[in-house]
Amino acid sequence: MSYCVNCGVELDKSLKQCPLCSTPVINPNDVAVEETVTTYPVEHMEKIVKKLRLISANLVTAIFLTGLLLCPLCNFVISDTLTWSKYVIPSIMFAWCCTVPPIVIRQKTLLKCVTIDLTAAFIYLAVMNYLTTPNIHWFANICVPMLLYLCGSFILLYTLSVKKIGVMYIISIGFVLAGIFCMMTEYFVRKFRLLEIEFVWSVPVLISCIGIAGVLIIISRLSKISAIRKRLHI
Amino acid sequence: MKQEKNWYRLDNAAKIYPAVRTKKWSGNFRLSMNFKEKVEPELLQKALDDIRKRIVNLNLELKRGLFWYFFEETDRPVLIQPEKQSPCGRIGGEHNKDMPYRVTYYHNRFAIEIFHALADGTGGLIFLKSIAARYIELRYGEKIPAFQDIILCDSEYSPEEMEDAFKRYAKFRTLKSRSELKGYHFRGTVLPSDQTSVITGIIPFAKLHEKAKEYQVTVTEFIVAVMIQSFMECQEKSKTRIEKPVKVSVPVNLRKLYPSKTLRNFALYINPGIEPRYGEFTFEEITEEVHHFMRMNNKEKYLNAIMCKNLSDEFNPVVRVIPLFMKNIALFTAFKMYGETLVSSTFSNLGRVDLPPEMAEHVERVEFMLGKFMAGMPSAAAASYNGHLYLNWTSGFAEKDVEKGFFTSLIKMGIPVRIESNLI
Repeated sequence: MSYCVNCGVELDKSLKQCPLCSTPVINPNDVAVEETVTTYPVEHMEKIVKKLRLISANLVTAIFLTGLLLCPLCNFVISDTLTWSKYVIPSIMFAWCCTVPPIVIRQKTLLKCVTIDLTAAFIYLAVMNYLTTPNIHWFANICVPMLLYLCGSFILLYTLSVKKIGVMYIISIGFVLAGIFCMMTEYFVRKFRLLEIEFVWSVPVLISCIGIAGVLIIISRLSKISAIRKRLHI
Repeated sequence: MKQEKNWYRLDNAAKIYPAVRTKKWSGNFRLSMNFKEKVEPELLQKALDDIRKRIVNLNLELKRGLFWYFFEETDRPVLIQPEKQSPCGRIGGEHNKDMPYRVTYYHNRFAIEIFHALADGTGGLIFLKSIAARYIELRYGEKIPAFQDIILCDSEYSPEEMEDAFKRYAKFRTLKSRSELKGYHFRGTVLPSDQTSVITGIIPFAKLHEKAKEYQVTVTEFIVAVMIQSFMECQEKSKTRIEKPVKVSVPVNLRKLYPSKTLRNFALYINPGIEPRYGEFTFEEITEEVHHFMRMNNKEKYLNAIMCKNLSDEFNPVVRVIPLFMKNIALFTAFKMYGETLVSSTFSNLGRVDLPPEMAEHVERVEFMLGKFMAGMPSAAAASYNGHLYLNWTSGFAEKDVEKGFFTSLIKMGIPVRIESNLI
């Protein structure tokens, strides 16, 4: 006989956890647990959910695969060679990397999916650079630093969210990082185009982002401000 | 010459259920009986076949007419099936096509799952007891005597068993409006449509009765009050901007008011509850509200007026000539507006189940369970047998906040609860 330490209800011998609060049943004295007949036949319900997820993932994959096969085929039949379809193939593969993992992955979904997406973005942009303009190295000069910055920003935000510093603070830091991203974009684009290095449009964006971040931080600390206002009101 | 099959109109309460049935959901309930020994499937099949020769209701299949659904007698065999982990799944399809019920077995238990168009809980309990009586006769060779409402294979058929009691007893003096405010709905992670979570609480009846007496209410009123309190706590936790009334729908067996022997539907619902906009209610206040509401509304005159209102819609000449497919759309819309949306949950108490000593010595327990709501909200049903009340919560949501609140409230009041579940 086991009782849930959380709810106080007596639990049937066949239960491995309390169905009300999911607290696991640990009863070292109960040796007969293995032989107990369960109250209902066991069909492994979780597997049904997994199966549903797998069906959706397979369906999406099948749709992408159809495009992957049909595009080169149509292109080849019409033009006798692969022209436009060689750009479509990596695009479809990139789209698959962005859509299927969120359906299949259930634990630490955000971390794993963003890692996959960023890796896929690196590969996709490198391939597109090679296919479209192999002599102009825009991937190495613009994409690599920008993607590395995005990776760094994501790691920073994820670490902060794990440490639970507060949603408002994380959103504020996100805004500041987005502002810096705009400045970087302008810097690397101008450098790549061999223009004079100066910041035209990105500075107002950065200032606005810092402003929004400041307002958000103030809102999050509003409880303290109201305490000051209470004492200083005229 | 081919013999013409008997057919029956659906009763007033039954008419809504085929119309709102979807490919994944149908309004069902389930009654089960646990024996002290393992069920013999061959004997159970034989018992069902034997009792079907006597109980007409178990030989009916649902058919579509041009204007209404109807039941038609059939001699098609009904095969018993092994039970599934999620009970009360959609009825229809599988082995038994359009039969409005199925009989299942697992280990020492057999159950009858019934589509609500066929019968109500009281009718279902008579089917369950009658199949069990025949099974015990076959299994142990004991002759079961005539006892209360149990139908024996050799008993005489009464046409009253098939009557539409609503039509017989409606007086049409006045009609009662059904306008009500929409109730609070618990929301959570929706389980796949073929899954239902079941949590059974086994409660000593004497302790529950004693506690209910302390509050000067009946056991049903007491349980409804605890349910309302649990739903209220969930609504408070969900921090909704506008708090909605918490109401629990309680079926009333009209056979207690009218001397009908029908095995079909003959029940109506009353919806006691509280309105949080008036302020916070203590548990004592909730019990008082429920008690007085039930006493006020559970009266023949009021219930007859509700019955007449329901029947007047059915008798409306415009409604009658609308083709079935259009009627189904209208009924589905009406169900969405007035059906599940008005209440937070349902509690159906079948009361004490009595069996003759010849049966009681082989029967361990009797349970009653409602199928999950279309919207998935948790609902409860109870039956008491042999000093215990078996209360089953069924839900289409993964979260168990309502059930937890309910059972922990009982524990806090000093009523012990033993829990079983299909969620291992």
